[in-house]
This record gives sequence, C-alpha cells and structure tokens, in this order.
Amino acid sequence: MTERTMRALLRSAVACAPLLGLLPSLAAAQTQAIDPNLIVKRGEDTVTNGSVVYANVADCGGDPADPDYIKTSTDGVTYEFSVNYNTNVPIVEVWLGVGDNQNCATATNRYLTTSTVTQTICTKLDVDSSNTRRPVFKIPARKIFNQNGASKDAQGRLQCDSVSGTPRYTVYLLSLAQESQSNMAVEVMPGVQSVLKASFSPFTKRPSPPTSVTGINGENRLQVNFSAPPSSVALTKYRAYFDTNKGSGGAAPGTDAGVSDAGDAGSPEDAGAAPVADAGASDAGADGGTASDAGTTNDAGTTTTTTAACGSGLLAGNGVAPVNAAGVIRTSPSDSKSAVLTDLSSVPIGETVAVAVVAIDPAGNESRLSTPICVTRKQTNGFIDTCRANGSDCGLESCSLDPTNRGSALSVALLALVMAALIRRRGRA
Amino acid sequence: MRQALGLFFVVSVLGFVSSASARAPDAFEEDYNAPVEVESDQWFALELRLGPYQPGNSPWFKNVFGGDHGWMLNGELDVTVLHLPYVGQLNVAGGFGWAKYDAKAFGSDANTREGEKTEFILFPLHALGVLRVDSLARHTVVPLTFAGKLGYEAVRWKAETGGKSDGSGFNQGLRWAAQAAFELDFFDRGTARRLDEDWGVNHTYFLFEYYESRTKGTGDRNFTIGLGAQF
Repeated sequence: MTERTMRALLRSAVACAPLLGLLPSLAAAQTQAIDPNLIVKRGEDTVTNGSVVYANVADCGGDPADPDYIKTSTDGVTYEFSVNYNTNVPIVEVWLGVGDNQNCATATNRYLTTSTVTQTICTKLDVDSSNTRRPVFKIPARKIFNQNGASKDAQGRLQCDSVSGTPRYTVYLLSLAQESQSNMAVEVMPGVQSVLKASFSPFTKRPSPPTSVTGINGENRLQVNFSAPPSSVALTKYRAYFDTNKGSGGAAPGTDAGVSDAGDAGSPEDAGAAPVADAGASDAGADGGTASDAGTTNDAGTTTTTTAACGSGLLAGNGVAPVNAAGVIRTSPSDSKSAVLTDLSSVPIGETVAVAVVAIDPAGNESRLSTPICVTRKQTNGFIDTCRANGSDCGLESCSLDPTNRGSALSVALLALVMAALIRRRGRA
Repeated sequence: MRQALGLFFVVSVLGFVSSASARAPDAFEEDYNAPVEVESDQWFALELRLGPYQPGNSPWFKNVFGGDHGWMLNGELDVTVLHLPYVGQLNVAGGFGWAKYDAKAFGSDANTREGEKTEFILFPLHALGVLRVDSLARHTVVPLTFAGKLGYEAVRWKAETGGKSDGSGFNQGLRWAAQAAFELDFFDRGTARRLDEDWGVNHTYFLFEYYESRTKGTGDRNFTIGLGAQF
C-alpha cells in the first residue's frame, strides 16, 4: 500500500469517526419503539407517565354497597392511554399487575412455566387500539380494579373490587419484538423493547362516616364537632352538611302534644291523614303543620316527646350526601374535626336545623352521612350584651379610630414622636 | 575587739531597720492591684412579664367571665436617657400587652349558658417614664434594684360572641408601677461577665412589679412577674 493511499484512508477514518460514534445510538433509537411519554386521561383529568392516578367510587360507576348501585351505576370512567410510536407500529401488549410483586415487564411474571403447568401472574388485557403511530388504548376502570375478573354485579358486568388504597394496580404497555404466546417457555419469551406504565391507587370503597357527632347551639354560628371514624385509610378531609329547610330539625321538644302542635315544623301537607295519626311523638318534624292541622287535645297522644325527630329530611337515613339540594349548605373540606355554619340568613332565631358530616378519602370519595343531629339557632348574650341589658356600658368607650374621637389617638401619636426624638438624641450622643 | 563588735552591732541594726530597701522589690506581688472591671455600654432594658388581670372591676365582667384572670402577657422596652451616678438610670419606656377572656354566652333568659362562646380581648399600650435605682446592686453585695414607673396607657379592646364582633374601642388613662428586681448575676458572676463580653447584656434580673392601670372599664390593680435584661 502506498503512502498516499494510507493517508487517504486515514483522512476517511477521521471524517467518519463522528458517524461511527453515532451508530450505537442510532441502533438504540431503532429499538425505542414507543416514545417514553405516556399520557393517561381520566375523564377530564390528564396525568403523565409515572404519576399515580387516584381512582374513586365514581370511576367505578358507583359503590357496590349502595342499595341503589344497580339502578344508578354506569360503566364509570374509561382511562385513555395515549402513546406515540417513533417508527413503525410495534407490537404492543397491555398487561395488568396488582401489587408490588407483579412487575409485568419481567417475563416470568407474565408467563410462569413449571414442569406441570403454565400460569400467568400478571393479567393480559384485551384492549383495542387504532393501528396508527399515535394510538389511544381505552381501558374501563372496571377492567383494571378487578383481580382475576371475579367481581361482577347482578347484571353480570365486571365491577371494581371494593378496596381502599391498597393494593396498587399498574397497567404496563410493553412493546415486544414479536407477539408472545401463552404456551411459550420463559426462555424463548420475546424481549421487551419499551415499557410504559401507569399506577392506580384505588379507593373504590367509601370510607366510614365520622362518629361522636355533637352540636353547639348559638346565635351567630352553628357548630358541630365530631371524631374520626375507625378506619385504616388515611382520611384527608371532612365536611358537614347543614339542612336549613324548615322541618329538617324537627319540632322543639315537648311541642307535639295537643294544641301545641301548632307551629311544629313542616307544611300543611305534611300533617298526615287522620287526626290521631297527626299527633304524638312520632309526628314531630315532618308531620308538623299549622294550627289547623294540629288536631285536638284528643289527638295529642299520650306521650310527649323529649327529643325532637331530628333529621327526617334530606340528611336522613345515613345515605349519600345530596348534591346541589336546595336549602342544604355544605362546608368546605377541612382537616378540622369541627365544622361551623356562619351564614345564618336563612335560619331565624329559634329554628332547628339538621346536620350530618362525612369523611373524605384521598381519592375524593365521601363517606355516607353520619346520623344527623340537630342544632338550634338561639339568642345569646355575650359580655357587651349583658352590660347593655343592665343599662351599663361597663366603662368601655367605643372605638376612637373613627373621626369623631381623635383625641386619644392624637395623644398616642404625640407620645410616640417624643419617644422617637429621645431615642434619636440618645443615638447621637 | 570592742570597737569591732560595736561596729558589727550598728551595722546589724541598720540592716534590720532598712530591710525593705535592702532587697529589690518583687514587682508582681508588691505592685499588684485588683483589675477594674469595665462593663459594656448600657442603654436599654427589655422586660417580659406575666400576671393576673381582671379589667374594669365591673360586676358584669365577673358575672360573665367568672374568675377568669386572663392572664396578661406584657413586654416593655426601656431606653436610658440619663445615667444618674450612684443612683441608676432615668428611662423612657414603651410597652405592649395582651389578655383574653372567654366564657359561654348566656341564653335569652340570662341564667343558663349556651354553647356559643363570648370573648373579650385587651391590647394595652403604654408609654412611661422610669426611674431605676440600682445603687445597691452596683456598690454593695445586695443584688436588688428598684424602679418606679409613671405614664400614659391606652387599652384597645374588642368583644365578640360566636365569632361575630360585638364592639371595639380604646380606653385611656394613667399607669403607674413599682418594681423590685433581683439580679441573676448574683448566682454566677463569671457567666454574667461572659454574657456581657459576648452579647453586651449587662445584667439580667427576675422582677416583681405591682402596678395599676387607671383606664376606666379596662383598668386593674394587680401584680406581675417576669424576667428582664439590661444591655
């Protein structure tokens, strides 16, 4: 080989070196079939790859423990997994793992073959997608939160397992060199080229309602205190529902008997059919009516109630909290184990309202309503009211920050100036 | 022989009489004077006090809040305007306090209590002239100082029931106080010295103060205790 030829070869090698360095990367890029950006859409919400999606009762179309579940349930949420193929449409399989041990990217978790049986640990999901480079895999929530497909409703449809927080469900999108078969031995399983996954933390079971609910009557606020329910789930918030509709709080104690039925909470049509049926203890609340509905003394019944029939309205029955119900005021979710209603414009003095509280889990599920209690808006007299009621101002001068009383404020200002001047003089010295 | 003995005797006597000048002085032991401690400049004092307080001496206050005595938390900053040799300091002081009282509000019949809470909150502000006498502590072994205070006080008050305001205002009047303080330097002079060298804190003390706030409706005569520091 001549020297000239060798120099040419050397120049070529130097020129090609950058390309040679890129070759491994190009080869690697060829195997990255799926753009590692997975977008999961949950109804109106969008989460990115690696995030944890909180799934709640609504995602599953309702609470299986709810008596109205079959009547009101829908299929719930369908999660949409959007991916982006870099090159041609690869072979993509969708697998479901439950818990930390079912990593479906591992071949042995997809197909476990022993000498006698082949079994799968992860579950392969049969999901259709469009044969495009930007497919969307649509998977109903009920298909995910259903171990082994055993849970079915009365109509034979898949329903979610009733769990709270654990185990965690993970959906894997695996791009493979070739399609895997159920009778493949582990040793010849096709290699996984790309793995995308999304984890779901299911709260598909409602938490328990708070306990030990007590109320505090007042004139300017109605307050309810309660305790956390016995639950293994870390509850995040609580809220209260105040039913300000007339009659929700029942009648005041002892007003059921005789002509005192007049003025019981309720409307005339609530008065009931027969005079005897109108009166008595059990008629407090919804059966209350006007004076003409009250019946006679004979209708009063033999026993006057010592407690009112409370919460016979929209909050009764430990059901699911009413949504957008007229007259029902709900407080904002809060960590505090007390709730306060300060807007009492629709609650006159003497009126009793029913209150129930709910617990809220991390996925936003509200528990069923606690057994409602009643709180009454009562006139109260604080310190100033007590002074005024006794013809005294207790020596307290009204606020002098208003323009009509500038004297004392001016004195304070003058003293402050004198002090500042003295301090400044001291500093100079 | 007799002359020699006499000469020896005279020399010996002279030697005894003038023994002091007969040897060189020991410079460290004989010329040693105790060092004079120099304190850092002292122009301020800060006090934190806590004590019972029942404002107004009103029967209605006691009727509503019963035996609730607050307590009143108070802070005061003194600025020295004049050092009085062998006496102490003449200061001007500004202070701020806080006390809160709460009880269940009465119902409409004024005899039974409802669950709703009624509150009464005080924010006293005062500006005083202070004469502090610390000659005992400076010039004797008695670690006591005394102070007399006189000045003006304004008390901002507000009342509310069930979270809703019932009213607010300002009451003003005279304030005086008499204080006795026990200097904590007494227990450990070394630490007190280091506190001065490192942080400029000249003295710390435990105080007992008897005072009166002559503000109508919010005043009281009571005692308070606390801690103070001069720096």
